[in-house]
Amino acid sequence: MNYKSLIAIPVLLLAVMLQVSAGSHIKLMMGSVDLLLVILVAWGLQNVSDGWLWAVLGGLMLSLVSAMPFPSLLLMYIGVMMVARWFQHRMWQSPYLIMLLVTFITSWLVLAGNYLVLVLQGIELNWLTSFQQVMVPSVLLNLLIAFPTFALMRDLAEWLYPAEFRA
Amino acid sequence: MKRISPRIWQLGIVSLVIVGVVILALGGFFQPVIRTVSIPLVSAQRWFNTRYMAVYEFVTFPRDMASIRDRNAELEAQIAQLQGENIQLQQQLAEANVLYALLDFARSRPENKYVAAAVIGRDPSPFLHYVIIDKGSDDGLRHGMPVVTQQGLVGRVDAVTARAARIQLISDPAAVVNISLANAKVDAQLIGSLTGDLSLSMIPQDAIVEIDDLVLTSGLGGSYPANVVVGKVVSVRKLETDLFQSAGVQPIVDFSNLQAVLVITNFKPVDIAPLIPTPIQ
Repeated sequence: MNYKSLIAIPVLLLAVMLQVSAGSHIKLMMGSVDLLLVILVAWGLQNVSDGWLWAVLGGLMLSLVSAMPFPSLLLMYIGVMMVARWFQHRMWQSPYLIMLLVTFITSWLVLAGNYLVLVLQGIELNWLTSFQQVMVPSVLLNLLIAFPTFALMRDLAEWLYPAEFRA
Repeated sequence: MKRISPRIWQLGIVSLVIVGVVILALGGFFQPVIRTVSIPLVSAQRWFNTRYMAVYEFVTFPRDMASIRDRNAELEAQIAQLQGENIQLQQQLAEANVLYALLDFARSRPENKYVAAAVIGRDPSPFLHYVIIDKGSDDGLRHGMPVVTQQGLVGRVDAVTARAARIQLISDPAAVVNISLANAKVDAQLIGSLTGDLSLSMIPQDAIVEIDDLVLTSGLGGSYPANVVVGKVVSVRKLETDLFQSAGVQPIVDFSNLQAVLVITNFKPVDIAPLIPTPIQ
């Protein structure tokens, strides 16, 4: 980790602002896009070492604006990075396919995590409605933005860490 | 006697002829001749001029094209700027209309103190119904303060920072509001849901609830002031086997298009949690 990791702060800040203002308006049924999750997955799949910092910073930033109980979001985004890093170490030859796969898996994990946390808090959430109206549309929206986000994060990683990409 | 030179004769005759021609021309005697001669001349001039202009335009065309392109780009830039200004003004007008409506509402209820705030975001979780506003504790906002618009109840302040606050909408799945039905004169509970639909529960079986009944806050529980409009009844569900009736409610506020809200700052919510009896262990 070095001073280049500081790029995480403006990038994640911009992502959180976009998600809070625009992202929550882009709705498919009751589902909305999780831009931060997709950015973390895309960054975690690059050959860079500061993914954990990105996950912690992103989780903290989103926890500040969300009504989800702390530190559930932080832990979920660290989990997202764990999954992304695991796949990055093992299957690095077809990155775009892995991006789709990891976005799919982590979207379900985070949404199911959100659901569980709220149910454990005593909030009545109908499982079928949550699945049909929130989870499935949200996963679809995340998959829609997976490719462009991956391309952007790949460019950013290549610009920041050219040595790692040449290796 | 000196003899007059033939040159002077010639000059004199020519002068007389010229003067004569001029006098005839001024007298209009040459009109038919001039007309006859001028027709082919004008035609020839027109032909020559057309060809000349064609050649002139051909030679000067590129320079004009360049200047036209420059002018076009200039005008396009001007149009873009004016369109931007137009959009900005329309946005300001829309905001001003919302604020005027809020101001009218605030004036109609002088007993309350309001702080107007703009909605600047929404909770990123799709399971929750919260909005973020641009006013915080620096503006006098505190946890639990009720939030309204000129139309009716929006929710209450859930969390506050110095410059921003998070509002729990009454459509949130965790939101519960004590309400009263204006016509039926009964109290009930309004509950939000994941889809944003509002429903009433705990309506006594003997109460007569009808479609279009007005739903107002009851003030019970101390979380919200009394008599704030919430919405109207759109469906009633009454089963003999149930202890209570239930009903669907159409909210009066359009939560998906919230732009500005009013926070009632002189309402102090009452925390009745210590008064709720707990079972003895």
